[in-house]
Amino acid sequence: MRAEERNMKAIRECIARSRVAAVFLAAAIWGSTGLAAEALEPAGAPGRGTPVSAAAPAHRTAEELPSGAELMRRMQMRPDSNARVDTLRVELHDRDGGVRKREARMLRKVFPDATRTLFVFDAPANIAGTALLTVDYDDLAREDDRWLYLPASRKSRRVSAARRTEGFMGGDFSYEDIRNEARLRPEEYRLRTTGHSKVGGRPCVQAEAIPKNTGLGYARLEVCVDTSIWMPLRFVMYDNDSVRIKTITMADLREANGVWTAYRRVARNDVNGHVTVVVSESVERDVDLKGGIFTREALARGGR
Amino acid sequence: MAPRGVRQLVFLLVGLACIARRADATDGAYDLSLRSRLEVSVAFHAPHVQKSEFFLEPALTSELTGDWQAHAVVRLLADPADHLWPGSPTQVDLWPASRALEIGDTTELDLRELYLRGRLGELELTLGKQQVVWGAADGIKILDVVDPQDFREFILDDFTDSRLPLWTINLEVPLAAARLQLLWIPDRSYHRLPPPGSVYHITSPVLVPPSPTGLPLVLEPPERPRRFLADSDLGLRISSTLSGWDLSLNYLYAYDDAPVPVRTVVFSAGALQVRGRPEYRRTHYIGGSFGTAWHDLVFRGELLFSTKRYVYTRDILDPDGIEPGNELSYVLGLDWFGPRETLLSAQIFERRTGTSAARAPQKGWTHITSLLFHRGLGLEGLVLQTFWLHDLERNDGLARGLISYTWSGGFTFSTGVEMFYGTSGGIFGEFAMTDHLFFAIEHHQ
Repeated sequence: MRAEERNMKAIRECIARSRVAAVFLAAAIWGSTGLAAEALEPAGAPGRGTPVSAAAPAHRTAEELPSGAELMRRMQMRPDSNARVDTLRVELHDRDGGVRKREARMLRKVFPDATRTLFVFDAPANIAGTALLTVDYDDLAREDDRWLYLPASRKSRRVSAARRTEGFMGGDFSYEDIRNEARLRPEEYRLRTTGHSKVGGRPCVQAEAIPKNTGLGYARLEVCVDTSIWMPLRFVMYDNDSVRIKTITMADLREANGVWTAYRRVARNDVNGHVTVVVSESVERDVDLKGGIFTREALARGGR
Repeated sequence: MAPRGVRQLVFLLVGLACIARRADATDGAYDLSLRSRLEVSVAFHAPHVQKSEFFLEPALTSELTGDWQAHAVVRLLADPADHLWPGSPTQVDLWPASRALEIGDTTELDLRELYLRGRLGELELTLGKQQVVWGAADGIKILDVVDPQDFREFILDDFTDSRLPLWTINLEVPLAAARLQLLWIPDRSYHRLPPPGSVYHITSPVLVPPSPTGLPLVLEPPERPRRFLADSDLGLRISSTLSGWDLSLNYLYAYDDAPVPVRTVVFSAGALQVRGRPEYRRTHYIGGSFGTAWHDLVFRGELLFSTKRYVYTRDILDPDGIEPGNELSYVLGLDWFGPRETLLSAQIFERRTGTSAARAPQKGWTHITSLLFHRGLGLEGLVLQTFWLHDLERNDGLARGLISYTWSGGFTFSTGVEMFYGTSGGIFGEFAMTDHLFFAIEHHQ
């Protein structure tokens, strides 16, 4: 195999891996709630360890702005594992101060033609066993497949995957937020870098993303990317009237098996004040997950 | 306390103790949950408490070694109102090993589930008493024929609660892009049909033969299959998702869960006498299902063809009063998923029983439509649900409305109304006088 072919193959594999990647949600910055301070890492160097080579910064000075295409490419190339299991603690905060707590597992595996993600709720008891399986095809023209298992009926039911911007399982993260995995696909967004900023004391490159498909639910996004690890630290979503509708931030960035991971993600609905906090209690990467787990027939077994 | 019930209780306690002990030995890798529910329904045509049900359902799941786990669910059910099954409940329809322990007339303790689940290489095995659910139709069962049903509350109870789990060996194996499920069911339990005098005693001539007029009727006990191996049931399902379509092929060789009303006219004590003897008969169920999504819509369907179904005939000269025939039934459903977790689902169900008998009231087509509106999809918070079933032939039906709210503490409060309408000869209309309001509190921990 010629060197050029090998390089191209490596790039293709890297891009394919990166699409399933690191962080499935992002966390939010906002100024007015008590959660804001908790959500963010203290200022300073990003987490522990050294970023892996594929994520090495291309821009050595704070003044130098990468292009939007470069920013997306680097985010896409961020290393990731092909199979992961996250144990999650989820808090749903309403604007009146009420909090609902849930425990869940997220299992994700990359298959040759799609990424399959299984969410299983383990607590509280009244929703324990509820499971959602999503098949996100690499072919963007193909609609995702999605099935919901409700233990109360013991049936796996196909549900529509069209409403990607709907809140996921009663929270403020949408299916689209989860699918994006803290990356923006060049096929779906145009990106333009606009300057430098800081999120939680961490320097980041600010960019504006315009969805190519109006069905994504946002007219415009602002994203701030830490270019030392090519990880977005914050997304701010706007509707057609330029009203800020949602803010997602990620914090507590750490390396797990050499992959940068946000252990704390916060989504704030800027319209109704709801906040969803997702904390990864544990992150296992490169796990040996059997393919049979990611089938609708196996939903009742809850990823076991 | 019946000896059989004592044996069942001992078996149940030993099973739970083994699981708990094993769980303890594996460093506490077990999960114990408790579901409790209190429900009161008040009939409003002749106001009275129709149901005052309380149940406790502890469930224990234990991680054993590697890929194996044990699971047990026990249900204690009490209904002091005693109108749904007045007097001492009979369990003749159930296999002895599947019977509940009766405590007086109004309380029972039932081992709902007890199974081991694990992997042997690529094979996935579930061994023990379990529920096997085929199909996904709302409110109507087409493919869901593996497990029988307790009709104590007709079709009002959640199918998960009214389905009668069976002792089953359930094997699943990947088969290229599909999955193959094989079932062997030695458990010879059948539908539980409430007795005369109960709120939901089924008398509609659509489903059961009326008593012959002018002749005394002697009902004999049902003739149950007795052979352990030869009378066990076998099932097979192949399912796959191909190009966005969920597909399944299903086959079940089983006894029909509803007995066939075999009739004989005899000359006894100087007079003609009609004897009715319910018998269980073998049936081949062959069916399949499909489902696919298109934007906000999900289109789905199920079809089932069953052989050797028997319908009764009004022909008094017929030697046994029944006629064999085949039955075809299917349901087509269209689900719309709207904003804020809204589901609007419409179904049309049709069933055709074919027989050569000229005077078989059950032959021909039955058409039933349904409409479901749901907000909340079963998670926490406020849930609103309405469901409407309508029989187009007999112009009768069932309308249900429910509103529930789940507090973060795990308590769910719900209230609603369940109303039947139509003539007394209809499947639903015969229960028109049982309309009621209900109030329920459920807790999970």
